[in-house]
Amino acid sequence: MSAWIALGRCVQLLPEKVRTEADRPVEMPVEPLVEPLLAHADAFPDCPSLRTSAGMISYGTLARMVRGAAAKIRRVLIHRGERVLLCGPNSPELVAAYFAVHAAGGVAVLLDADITSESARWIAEDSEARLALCERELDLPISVANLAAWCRADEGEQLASLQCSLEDPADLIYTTGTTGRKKGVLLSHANVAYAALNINAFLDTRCDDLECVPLPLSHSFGLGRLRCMAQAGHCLLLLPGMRNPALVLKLLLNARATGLALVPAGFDLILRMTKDHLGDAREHLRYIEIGSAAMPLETKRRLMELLPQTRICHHYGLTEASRAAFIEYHADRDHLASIGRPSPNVEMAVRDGEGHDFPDSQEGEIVVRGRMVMREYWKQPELTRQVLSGGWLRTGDRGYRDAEGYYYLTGRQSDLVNIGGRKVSPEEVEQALCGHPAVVESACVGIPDPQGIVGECLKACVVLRSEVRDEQLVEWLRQRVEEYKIPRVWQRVEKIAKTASGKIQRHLM
Amino acid sequence: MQDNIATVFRKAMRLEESFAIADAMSFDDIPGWDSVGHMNLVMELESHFGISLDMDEIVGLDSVGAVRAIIARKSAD
Repeated sequence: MSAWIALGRCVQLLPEKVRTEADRPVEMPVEPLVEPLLAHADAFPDCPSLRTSAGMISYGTLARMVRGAAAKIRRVLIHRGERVLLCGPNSPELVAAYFAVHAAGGVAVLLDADITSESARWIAEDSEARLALCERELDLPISVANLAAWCRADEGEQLASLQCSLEDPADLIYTTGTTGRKKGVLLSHANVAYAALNINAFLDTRCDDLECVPLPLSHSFGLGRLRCMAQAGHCLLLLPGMRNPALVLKLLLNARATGLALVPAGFDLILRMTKDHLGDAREHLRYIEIGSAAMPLETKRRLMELLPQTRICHHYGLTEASRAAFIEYHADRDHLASIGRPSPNVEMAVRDGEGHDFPDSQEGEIVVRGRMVMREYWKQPELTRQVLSGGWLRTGDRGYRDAEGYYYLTGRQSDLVNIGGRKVSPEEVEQALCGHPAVVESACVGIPDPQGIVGECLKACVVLRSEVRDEQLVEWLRQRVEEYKIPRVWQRVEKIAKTASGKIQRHLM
Repeated sequence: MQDNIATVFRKAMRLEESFAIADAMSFDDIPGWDSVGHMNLVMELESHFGISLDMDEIVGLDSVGAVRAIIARKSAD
């Protein structure tokens, strides 16, 4: 039986010492996350695991879905560690598919539900995936099956024993690289299990929590909430996304949710559209997790006013090192401009380019170490060597630590733009733009979002050979890149400023 | 009013003039109707028609037809 349910009752899965000694290293046995999920389901089959607009899914039903899908996946995989692509909107079937891949010994590769076919094909080839489970038609050079059909709780074969161990690879997550080329972050079962342990320890997640998750599960943040659920045994209120922010708040209030996970842009949209109604949740909303981007101080203070009893936890992290630091706004009210302090079981430091530690207050590159730090970049050993050394990960973020141990970000070492929590390479958009018949060349740069919602957005400078309207360029890009990558600001220029070697001088734009 | 609503949608979602707007269209049918597009839609509707939408009304803006019905009701008030 899993250590997580040793208490023998569905009251609190996380041992007390993990929850109360969050500032000190905690040695806890962890298992691949599918183990506590299934053990919890076997012990408490009627407990709710997921709620959607279609109804509630119990842990028992979810476990049948996982074991059934795992049996099907197992028949397709030839070796342990083979990659399986998963593409679909938030749904119980996607949740089941994720854990089924793990149970069958595969590596889950989650794709955005609205990924372009070109990107999906590239990932299928780069990951050398064996199988894709998709909710929509994607033209891929590998076996493709319908995700929902494979993940029903039917009477078919159930996987008898799990095919994964802690050191096996679990997830391959593609993120945007600095050159526009995607890079695959390979995480082991130990990485994701320890990440969940650290997060649950800080948030104090309880098995009777009902957490509202409007984040895409294909994104690191949303996926992290799913991993935490597997370990803590609570229930997720799965929403299709943030397209209607007012609806998200209404559902949260109607369900009397005790938890909420959202990016800063999501809070901004909710506050703008519903004014102070978020405060209506103050009686039941126990915790919030915020992440993937910075939040303006004004918004932080507004949240604190509206939700005086809620633990408002904002994480700092990367796909390569999930939730390396946390700040809780109320407890750390004197350090609101910081990213907080290292998460439980995580070390952080500030170093120079040679790897020497800097003293407090001196600015350098932030590095992190912990069991959640990725194993490697997929098929990129040189890149892995550049960022990983002695267990320490170079984050590429610049910052400093104050005398009380709080870390502050001061900048990034790359051109990547953070749009509402999603990293975008300007080069990818430039390449797409330059295919337009009217465009000679282009250069994109991150600027503060004029509407103040998504933090940063792209501004495109274009050199044209013939007249073209902004809407025509937007429509061109809609066929080639995801919606959030499309520039919000356009400027016609005579030429693009470049260095002697031809590199775009973005700081001049 | 149909034309006015089409104009608002095109502006909020950055659509070309030639993009046809129909009442049956919902989130998936209109490019750019994401969370930011939704907020732009609310702002454009309030500005264009000189109205103020409350939370429940904003929740109900889930198709062109629904938008038209809400605007018609607000305009009649």
